[in-house]
Amino acid sequence: MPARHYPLILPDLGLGAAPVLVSVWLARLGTNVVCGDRVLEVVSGNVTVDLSSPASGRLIRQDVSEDDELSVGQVLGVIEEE
Amino acid sequence: MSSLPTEPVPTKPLGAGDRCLEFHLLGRLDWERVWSLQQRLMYETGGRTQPQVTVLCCEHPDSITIGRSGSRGHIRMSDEELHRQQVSIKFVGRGGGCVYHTPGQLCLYPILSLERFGWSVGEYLRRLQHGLCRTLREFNIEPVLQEGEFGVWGRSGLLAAVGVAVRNWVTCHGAFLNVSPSMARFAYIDAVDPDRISSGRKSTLSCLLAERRLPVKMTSVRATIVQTLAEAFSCDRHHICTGHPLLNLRSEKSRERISRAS
Repeated sequence: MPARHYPLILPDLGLGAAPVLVSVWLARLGTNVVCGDRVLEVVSGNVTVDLSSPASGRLIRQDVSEDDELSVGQVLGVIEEE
Repeated sequence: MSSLPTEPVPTKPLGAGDRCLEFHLLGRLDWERVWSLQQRLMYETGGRTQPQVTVLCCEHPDSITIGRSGSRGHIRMSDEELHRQQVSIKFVGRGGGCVYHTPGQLCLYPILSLERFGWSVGEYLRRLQHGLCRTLREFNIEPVLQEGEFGVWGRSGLLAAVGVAVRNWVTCHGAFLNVSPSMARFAYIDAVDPDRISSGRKSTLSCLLAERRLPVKMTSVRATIVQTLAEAFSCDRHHICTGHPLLNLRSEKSRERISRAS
């Protein structure tokens, strides 16, 4: 049975048209994470927001890089369930 | 710059649920000690089922914190000058740029779970800003907002900087309200990213004392801000405490460990 993949998605932060940028990945590609672990920090002007892993498993994809501008609903990375 | 026709107001009525605000007056305290306490309280807040806001209120000795939008280049002091004047620098994981902390500046660190309150990050920031604006109005200062910024300006410059972080949907860091600090110290930093200043934004730092040209008592500002934040966060009850029981429980060793980890 193939492993399930869980996308890490940027939720609506309620910041309107303010740009949201990637600040820093807190988990390295290929590392194991636990559901709820902070994996990516995004920044928008006066606030930083840490996004948590949606599942336990391995971070197999980082689709965005530092300073990339993001949009709500965008897939930022993928966790492969183990 | 524009004045405040679009200033947000709380969308939920006061008394909507059993919401409590605990306001802790910590006096003058190092940034590191307050950060250790914030981390502990964030952990506890995440596990709570009831919506509660804890606000740590203090003044810091001379120091500079640099948020994610700031850089060492925004500080107009050499390493030697910083050392000579005993001003420490910390890179911190909040939004916003450089903030010069000095006695006379009121630092407010609200810690709450956005999930418990049902708020987005934007709504929390608008409510925090609303509380700051209401505070200024109580002192007959008309606040000025700038598009895309959650800090609050007056005619003379930036009166309250905002720099927040959200971790596991729990807020930390907060707002820095300049009441009556030594203004000469503020010349050492660019508080707003110079890239954004070029778009016509006002970068001058100011304080309530300069804005009003009348003395302002820190005790009056603190008493006012308890009320205005309780209203802004739709809390129907609030308590004011002196100190915090967890402050004295932490050993020097554990503070160092937490400081290194952050």
